[in-house]
Amino acid sequence: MNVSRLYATLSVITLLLIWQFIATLLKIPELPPATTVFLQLKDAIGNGQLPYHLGMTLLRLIISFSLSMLIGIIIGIALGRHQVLDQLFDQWLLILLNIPALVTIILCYLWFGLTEVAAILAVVINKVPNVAVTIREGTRALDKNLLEMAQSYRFSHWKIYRFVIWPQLFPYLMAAARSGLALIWKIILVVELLGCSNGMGYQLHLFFQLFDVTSILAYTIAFIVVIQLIELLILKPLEVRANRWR
Amino acid sequence: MTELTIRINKKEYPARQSTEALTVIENLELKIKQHEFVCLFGPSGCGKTTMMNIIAGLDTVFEGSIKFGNQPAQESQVGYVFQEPRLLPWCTVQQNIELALENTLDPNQLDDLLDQLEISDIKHHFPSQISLGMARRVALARAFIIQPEILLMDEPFVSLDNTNADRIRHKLVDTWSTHPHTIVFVTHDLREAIFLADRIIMLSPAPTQIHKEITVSLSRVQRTNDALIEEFRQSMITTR
Repeated sequence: MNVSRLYATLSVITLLLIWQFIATLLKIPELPPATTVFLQLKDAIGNGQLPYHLGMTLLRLIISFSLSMLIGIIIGIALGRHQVLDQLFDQWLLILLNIPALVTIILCYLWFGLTEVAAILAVVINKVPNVAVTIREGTRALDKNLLEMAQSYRFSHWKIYRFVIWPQLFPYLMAAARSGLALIWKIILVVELLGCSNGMGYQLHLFFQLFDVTSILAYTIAFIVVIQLIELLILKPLEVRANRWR
Repeated sequence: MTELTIRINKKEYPARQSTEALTVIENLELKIKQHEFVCLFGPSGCGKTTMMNIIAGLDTVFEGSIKFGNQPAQESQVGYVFQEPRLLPWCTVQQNIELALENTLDPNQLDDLLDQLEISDIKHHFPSQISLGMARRVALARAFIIQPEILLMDEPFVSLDNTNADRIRHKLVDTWSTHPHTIVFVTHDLREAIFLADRIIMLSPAPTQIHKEITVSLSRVQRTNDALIEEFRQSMITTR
């Protein structure tokens, strides 16, 4: 185990200990001790409730994340490569970026009903502008020298995208993916809270009405663990593979 | 004979907020015979790189035409060795060379070429792992592999030490003698030009025109003698 990982582990343990200590000291229902929360977590996993709701949320996450990235990348590259398009649509992006997530969600539900499509659409509309802006920056920063080289050697369009543009956009893509994931998680919960009959957001709303702080915290921990796993098992390896040449 | 005809009536950089429009090249006409090795020699900032970009088809905003035979030069097979190696950092040496080809590569052909340029050991390395001298040779290999009809070289050996540069120059002449093609080579080093070129085109400061043309009368063998090159250079300077 290397030093930085040791520090990370120690810091998480310290946080849990502080929590446990304060909760034991206060003895109030608003702050259950860590041990109680972990037991509740075990139960929720055991009776299948948490895996089901977490699964639904993850499914919505995967669909809306993929759609937002795809659409955002296409728009970002188009705006970064064509100045006229950029000047035409820059304001649209700015407006979309500034609409509060809650407004988009409510409008989508009002316009399209309390459906899955509306839920996904609300998330996508919220996320696409962020991806587009990041990718646009990446596209503007493309190395002109390498593009000239590719052009003088008559690279095909596919070759230019695959071997010249894509590797340069990759760091921007990772940045968009990371911030995107964090943002989408948060929005999806609100979407579920307002208009779905399953998912983490729906469950949290239920616990809120029941004043069940233990379950809220147990679900939150499950949540954090899943995000960390996505980072460790998907994003990090992708990044390492793409950066072999450095 | 397929002649390369460069006719640039006018090339200017448009006015910006603070600067006036700048005419870089004006009334320049140059004919280069097939398989001829021509050096463009001129003061820095005289538009040599601009001219190369125009020939390569990278810069299309100019008055004039670039023809190879009766075709626009852009339609012929052009190899371009830039001032910097311009290798893709995320591709290995071999991938960098292969990418220049439209079709798949004949492995023997690649190995021969890499051997000739003494870079076979590094073909699976990434550009960040090799020296600048090696990277320049990889850039050469990339240009040679496509067997170009026209090879453009824009000061490809600057910032190399003399020994290294000399070796690569010899390689270049060897390769060109075995696979003849038309070469346009930009340099500001007169000795380099005398060593390499059949003909040296002296360019004037911007707006660039042809100031003078000199045919290098030394044989390829004579050019390996530094004293003879120096003598030729002196004679050029005195008649300039």
